[in-house]
Amino acid sequence: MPAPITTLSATPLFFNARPAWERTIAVSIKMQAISTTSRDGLMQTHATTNRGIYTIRYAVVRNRASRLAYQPTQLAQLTAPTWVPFWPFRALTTNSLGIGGTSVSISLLSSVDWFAAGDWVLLYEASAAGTNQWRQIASVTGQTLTLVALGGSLAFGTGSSIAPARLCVRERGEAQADLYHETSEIESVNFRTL
Amino acid sequence: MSVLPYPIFHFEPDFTREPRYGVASAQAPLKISNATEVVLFHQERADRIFAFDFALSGSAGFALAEFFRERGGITRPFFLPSWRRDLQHLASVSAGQTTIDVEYINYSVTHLTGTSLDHYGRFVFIWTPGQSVFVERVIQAVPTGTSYDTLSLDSPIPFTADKQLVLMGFAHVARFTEQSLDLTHIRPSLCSAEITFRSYREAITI
Repeated sequence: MPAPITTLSATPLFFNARPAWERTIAVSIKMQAISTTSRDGLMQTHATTNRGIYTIRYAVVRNRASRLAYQPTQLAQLTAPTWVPFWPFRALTTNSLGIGGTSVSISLLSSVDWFAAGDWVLLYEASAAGTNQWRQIASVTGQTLTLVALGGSLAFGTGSSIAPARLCVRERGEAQADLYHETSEIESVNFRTL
Repeated sequence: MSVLPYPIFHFEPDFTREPRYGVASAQAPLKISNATEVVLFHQERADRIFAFDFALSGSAGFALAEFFRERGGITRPFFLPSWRRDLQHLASVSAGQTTIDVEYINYSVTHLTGTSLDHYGRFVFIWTPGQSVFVERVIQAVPTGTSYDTLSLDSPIPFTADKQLVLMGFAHVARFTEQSLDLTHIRPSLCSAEITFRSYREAITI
């Protein structure tokens, strides 16, 4: 029996830099199919994938301190896949999650593709200075997620945001930032799913 | 009561940016030296094109992305309301009714006959504010002189169709024309998208 092909050669990382919403976030979904339209107007299609490739592009503004702290992570992200939150698809929590809690209900119905068991999610508070924490989903029942127990887990109140994430790589294997101010920069974040 | 063969694309266009409509067919000009140009028509019938812009709030952007994924891009068709007043209904209809009178357009001949080039009207949509889009098959259209057509639907209208409020038109069997969908978010709960659809002839004979 042949050995399964492993696609991940490095431990995944996590990316949780918040987007600058005023610069918009673009999400693109690409499916693949072969289609033929007959002379009498009927169409036949043959889907070659059942799961789309998602691309997310947004901007992150960093000041000097956060830029310096981020640089080692940025270098690592170019050599390993990264869990990236899909901020626009975020749901809100409809119950509070206490310290050490593992059960949280969300405002969106879990789908086959998002908020699924095994995926990671980013819990965060809306305010810029709000706390955030990555948690992994153990199981899903309707709109209730059971999270994998985590030592040192934080508490989140009702109405906190919870963003689903995808394992992504940097497009074209590069990261780029523009100088915004002599102490600040704007990074153009550009990830696509595996 | 019928079971619709396809799901309904229930997202309303942003009417502040005019929806655009067209027809398109496949043809290719063939020019050989000084001979008269010949045009090859690849299709016997033209398809209808719909180009809508959307402004989606709340979790509607997420729902649209999921709809696109579930349809496999262009792979699977769905019912697309034209969002035009293709039909003018003549009197309010209470919930539970299956017949509705519309202005005379010789509906049974124009839209329900298989040989008609424009028989796109076998399914209609009815929309009124605050309600989900209702799509149903027209099983019969009976003209009363040249005054009006009485349409019989396969299942009852689930809400009161007030004459002043209702928008009624054709629901087309359509597909996305592109294999990718772009959503631009300007806030966590507001995004925009520009989508083009193409209605195809459907093979279903119901």
